Amino acid sequence: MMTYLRLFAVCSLVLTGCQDAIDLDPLDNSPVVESTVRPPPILGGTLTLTDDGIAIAADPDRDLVHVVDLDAGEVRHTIALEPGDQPHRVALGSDGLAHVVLRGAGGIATIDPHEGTVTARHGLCPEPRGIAFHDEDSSLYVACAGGSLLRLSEAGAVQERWELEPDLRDVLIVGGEVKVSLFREAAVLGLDGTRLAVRPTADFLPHVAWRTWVTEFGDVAMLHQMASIKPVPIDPGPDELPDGGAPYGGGGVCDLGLVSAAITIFSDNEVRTTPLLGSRLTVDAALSSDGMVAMAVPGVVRPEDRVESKRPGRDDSVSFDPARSALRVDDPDQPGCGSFDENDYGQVTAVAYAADGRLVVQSREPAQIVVMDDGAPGGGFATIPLVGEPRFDTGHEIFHRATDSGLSCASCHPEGTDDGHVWDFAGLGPRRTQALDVGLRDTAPYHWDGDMADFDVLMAEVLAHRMGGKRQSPERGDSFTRWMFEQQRPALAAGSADPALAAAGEKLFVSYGCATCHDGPAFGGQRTERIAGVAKQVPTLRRISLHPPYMHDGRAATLEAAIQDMVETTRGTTAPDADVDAIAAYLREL
Amino acid sequence: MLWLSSIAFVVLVLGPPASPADDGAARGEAAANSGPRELPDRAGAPLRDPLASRETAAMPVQGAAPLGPGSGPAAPASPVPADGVAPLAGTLAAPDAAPSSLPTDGLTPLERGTRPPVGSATPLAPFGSGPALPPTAPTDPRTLRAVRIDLLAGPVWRSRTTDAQVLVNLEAGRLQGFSGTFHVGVVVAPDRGIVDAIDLPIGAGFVARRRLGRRSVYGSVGLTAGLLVHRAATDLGLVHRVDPDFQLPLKFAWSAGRVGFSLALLQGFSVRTRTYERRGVEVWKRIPYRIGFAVGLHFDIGVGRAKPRRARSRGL
Repeated sequence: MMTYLRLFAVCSLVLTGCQDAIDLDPLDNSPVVESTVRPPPILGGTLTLTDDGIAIAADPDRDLVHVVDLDAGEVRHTIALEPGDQPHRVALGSDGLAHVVLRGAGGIATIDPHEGTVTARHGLCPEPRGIAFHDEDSSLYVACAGGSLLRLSEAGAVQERWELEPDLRDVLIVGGEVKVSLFREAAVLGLDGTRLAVRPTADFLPHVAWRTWVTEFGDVAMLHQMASIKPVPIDPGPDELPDGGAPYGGGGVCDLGLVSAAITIFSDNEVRTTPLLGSRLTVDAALSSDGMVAMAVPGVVRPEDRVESKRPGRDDSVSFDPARSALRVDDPDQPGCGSFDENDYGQVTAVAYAADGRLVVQSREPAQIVVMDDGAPGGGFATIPLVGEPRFDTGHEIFHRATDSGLSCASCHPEGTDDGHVWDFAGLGPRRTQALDVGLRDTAPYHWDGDMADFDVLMAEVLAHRMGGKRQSPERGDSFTRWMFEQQRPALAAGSADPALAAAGEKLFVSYGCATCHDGPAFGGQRTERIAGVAKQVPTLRRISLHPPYMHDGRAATLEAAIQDMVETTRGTTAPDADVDAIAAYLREL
Repeated sequence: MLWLSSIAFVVLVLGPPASPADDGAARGEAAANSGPRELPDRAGAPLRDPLASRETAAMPVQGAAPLGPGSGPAAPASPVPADGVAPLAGTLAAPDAAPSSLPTDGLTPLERGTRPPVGSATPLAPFGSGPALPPTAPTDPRTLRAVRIDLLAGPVWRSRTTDAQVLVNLEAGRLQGFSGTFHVGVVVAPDRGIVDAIDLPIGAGFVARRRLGRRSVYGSVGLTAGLLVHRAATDLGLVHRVDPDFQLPLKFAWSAGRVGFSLALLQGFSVRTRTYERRGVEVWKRIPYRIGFAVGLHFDIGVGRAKPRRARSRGL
C-alpha cells in the first residue's frame, strides 16, 4: 500500500511539473517578403523643395533621386545612382544644382534637377551625414559621422576641415554661422565651441536628433527623442503589467512611453522643448510658416497589422486612433496626441512644406510623393507614384513598426545602430544600448549578459514580451535575422587620425592583452568573459568612437576613460596617459 | 494532506484489507453479532432449506428486528414449525411441531410486517414448500441496488483562486458497497479579465458507499478518471486543451425516501499546470490540484434488490 502511495506521490509531483503555457501575444505568421536588395534602416529626411515647386526626393532604398514637379503632379526625372550609394540629405546649391549626400558611398553627388543628370561625384569620408550650402562663400559643408566637418567648393574640392566630436549629423547655417548637430546627444555645436543642448527633464533625457534645421525666423529647430531615465521593468508581476500594454509601458494614445518624440526650438533667448504625446518612431519634421510642425512617422502600425480582440463583446477597434497615422501635424504650443487621419500615405519618411503652404510627404514604400494642399492631413491630397522596385522587406518591417508599447526596434536603435542611452532596468541595473550596425553575425549570444541565445530568443523576449510586439513565425524570425546580419557599416577613420599614433596604439592594444578578448573580425562580440566577477559579453570595437558612453553600464564617458577602466580592471594597474591616447587613436580607426 | 485524509477515509469506510482466513472469521463473528446480516440470496426464497432454517433459528429474536425506523420491537417468539411451513389444517400450530424461536408467520424477522398475518385467506403452497411471498420492501442497503443522481454546486479551491463549480454525478450500483460513477461538471474561473476560462471535468470510476450508523446517512469515497476539458476565450480566440483528470470524491449523503441531501469534498488532479502569459508575464494560472466543497441534492431514481453477489451451490 505504501509503495503505491509513494509511487502515486512521485508521479503526481512529476506530472505537476508539466506546464502548458499559452502565450496570449499575437503571432505574426504573414508571408515573408525579402526584396531583391534588402533595404537599409530608415534614415529619414530625404526630401528638399525648391522655390519653383520642384521636390528632390532621395531614395536610399533604391539608390535613386527623384525630381518631382509638384505643380504638374508628375515625376520629371529619376536619377539612378550607384548601387549602395544610399542618397540621404539634399542641399540646394547655386545655379539650380543639388548636392546629395551618399551615405553608403562616403561622398556626395551633384545633380542637375532640370536635366536629371549627375554632374559630379566626390568621395569625402566614410559616412557623410549632413550637408548645407553657404550662400556667402558658395561653399558646401559636409558633416561626417566620424566627427569631421568639411568645407568644399561646389566643384568638390575640400577647402577646410574641422575635427569635431564624433556622431555629427546635420549642418546648419544660422545667421551666417555654421553649426552641426550631434545625432545621439541631441545637441548643436558651433565652430566657435558654442553648444546648444536640450534640457533634460526629471524623467527624460534628450537624445537622437533625427533632424535639425533652421526655421524661417532664424531659430534652430530639432526633432529628437526623449528617453526615460526611470527604472524600466522587464519582468513585472501580473498585477504590475500595464493594462493592454507591455512591461515597457506606453502604448496609450497619449502616453509618453519610454521613448517619445519631441520638438525643441532654440531661439535667441530660450530653449523650448515640446514632448509629443503618443508618438511613435518619428524620423523627420518640417515647420510651416504658420507654426505647425509636420512629422514623418514611419513606425506607425499598418492597418492590416492591427490586432483586435476576438473575445465576444470586446470589440476594441477604434475608428480614429491618432497613433495610427503615418503623418502627424501638431501645433508645438498646444500639441495633441496625434493626427486623426486614417488615410494610408505609405511608410512616410520625409516631410517638407512648400513656400505656398502645401505639405509634401515622401513615402519609402510604396515609393510615392503625397501633396496636401491644405498643409495638413485630413483634407484632399494628391499622390505621385515614384518609379523603382518595391522595397517592402519583412526584416525591415519588423525593425521599424511600432509595438503596443509605442516602441519600435528603431526607437532605441535609430538608423540600425544605438541611441547612446543608458537604461536603468529594474533588477538588472544600468545597461547601455548596444549598436547593431557592427556586424552581428556569429556574435551570439546577445545582450550584455549574454542571456539571449539567439535572435529567436531575443525577439520573443524583447520584441514580443517587453515591447509588446507580435511574436514572429520562425520564417519571419529567420528573415529578420538575415536582415540584421546584413546591417554593417564601414569602419570610421574618426577624430584626429594620426597614423603613427594609431600604429603605436595597435601594438599597445596587443601588449596590454586587449586583443585576447577583442578578437576576430569585429574585434570582439564573440565571447562571454567574466570580468570583476561578472560575466559579460565582450563588445565589438567596430565604430567604437561613435558609441559613447562606454562599458555595459555607461560608466566611462570617453574612450580614454574606458581604456583606463579596462586596464585597471583586467591588469590591476594604471596605464600611462600616453599609452591610453595611443590605444584610443587606434580604436578610432576601427 | 487531503489526499492522505481521503485515503484514511477509504480505509475507515471499507475497513482494512483482510486475509481469507480473517474473512471467514469475520463472517462467523457477523453471524453471531446482532448487526445486519446476510439475507438469503433470493428474495422470498422458501425457508425449507435446512441450513437456512437452522441459521435462522439460531438467530436471536432481537437481532432479527427490522432495520427500518418505526418498525417497533421484535415480536415474541411463537410456536411455529421449524421449517416455517404452516399446518395444512389451517391451525396455528401442528400438534407435533417442536418449539421454535422463529416467528409464527414463518418469515425471517426482517420481512416481518410485509406478509399477511397467519390465518388469513392467503392460499398456502402445496407440498410444504411454503407460501409464495410477495415482493418485500428493501431494508438492508447491502442488498439494494440503486441509481443515484447527485446535483452539486460549490466552490473549488486552487492555490490562489476559488472557482465555482456545478457537478452532476450519476452512480449506479449497490446502495452500500461499490457503485460505478460518472460525473460531468463545470468549473468556472472567477478571474475573467484576460481569460474567460471554464473547465469541464468528465470522468468515470467507482465509489464505495457505506451507511454511517443506523440513520440514512451514507458516506462514500471514490476514485474517478477522465478528462478535464479546458475552454477559454481570449483576445486571440478560443483556446481548447484537454488534460487527464482524476478525482477523489468524498461524499456524505442523507436520504429521505428517494431524495436526499449531499455534501461532498471533491479533490481533483488534472496533471498539468495551465498558465496564460501575456508579454512574458503570467496573467492566469491554474495548478493541477483542486479541492472542491459542494452541497446539493441527490435523487435515487431506481432502487431494488441487488443480484446475488455469487451463486450458491447449495440449496435445491
